[in-house]
Amino acid sequence: MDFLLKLTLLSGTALLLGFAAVVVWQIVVGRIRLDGLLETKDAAGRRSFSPARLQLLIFTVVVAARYLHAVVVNPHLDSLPSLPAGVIAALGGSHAVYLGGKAFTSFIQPLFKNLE
Amino acid sequence: MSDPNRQRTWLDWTPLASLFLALLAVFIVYFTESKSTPIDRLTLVVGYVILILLFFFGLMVLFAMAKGDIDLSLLLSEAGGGASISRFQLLLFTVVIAFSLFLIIIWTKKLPDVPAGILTLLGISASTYAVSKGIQASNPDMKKGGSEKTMTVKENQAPGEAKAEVKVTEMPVNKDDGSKG
Repeated sequence: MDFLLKLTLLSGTALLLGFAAVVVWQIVVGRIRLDGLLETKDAAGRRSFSPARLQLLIFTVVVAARYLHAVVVNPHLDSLPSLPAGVIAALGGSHAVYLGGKAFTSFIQPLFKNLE
Repeated sequence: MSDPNRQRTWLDWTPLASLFLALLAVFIVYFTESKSTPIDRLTLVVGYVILILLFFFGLMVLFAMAKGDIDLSLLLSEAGGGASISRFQLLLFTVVIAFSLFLIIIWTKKLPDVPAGILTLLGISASTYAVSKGIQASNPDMKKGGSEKTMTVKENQAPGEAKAEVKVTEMPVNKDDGSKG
């Protein structure tokens, strides 16, 4: 049974890392395109830099890195590590800003444009 | 339907290899675990067979992704072209939580509890993705995302005749049905 567990650990790790490596590699070589990740598009179709997207990206990467670090440092846990309520509230706020910005460029800006 | 002219690669033999390894595992367990009870041997055999099948299925999917047979080019794209931050976030959180779950299961050898905070995190991320899609869908200009070009039709045009103009919208190439956006 121990050998089966070791084999499971090896094969599972190899597959998970393999999938992650393929996705990261395809992002690096440009097959999965990331252009426009930090840009928003207004009603006229013009692209511009979006601070709302930037803050969401930074928040996402920081929360994901901290979570992964917490698990790797101490994997002997009975449950997945929980996130502090403050972090979840901040994440919710971050998403609200992103969605608010998107709704603004999508619905409010065209109204202003029509009034002009 | 498979293409009869397609060249065979070593990947085509992986189902056969996994079947061979599964049978090998059965024989090894049968002869080496002869002192165990039948139910223990059966448990061990089933464990090996499931592991071998899952590993080789995963390996085939992995190689298909790496070779480009499974197209991932639009994994992070949104309907109007450009990358989607909500898709990126959903991907990152899913990978991190899946990897964390895997690590904990391997170390503790039991399924851990999933705290409400993590479910909330994934819920917020997925809801943002859904709402973002809703905003895009309700705004046809953002959904379209193509650039319009005006072309002049020159074919069969008589001298002095007014030029016919055709508006062509260039859309991002999407091999899928476009519904996943």
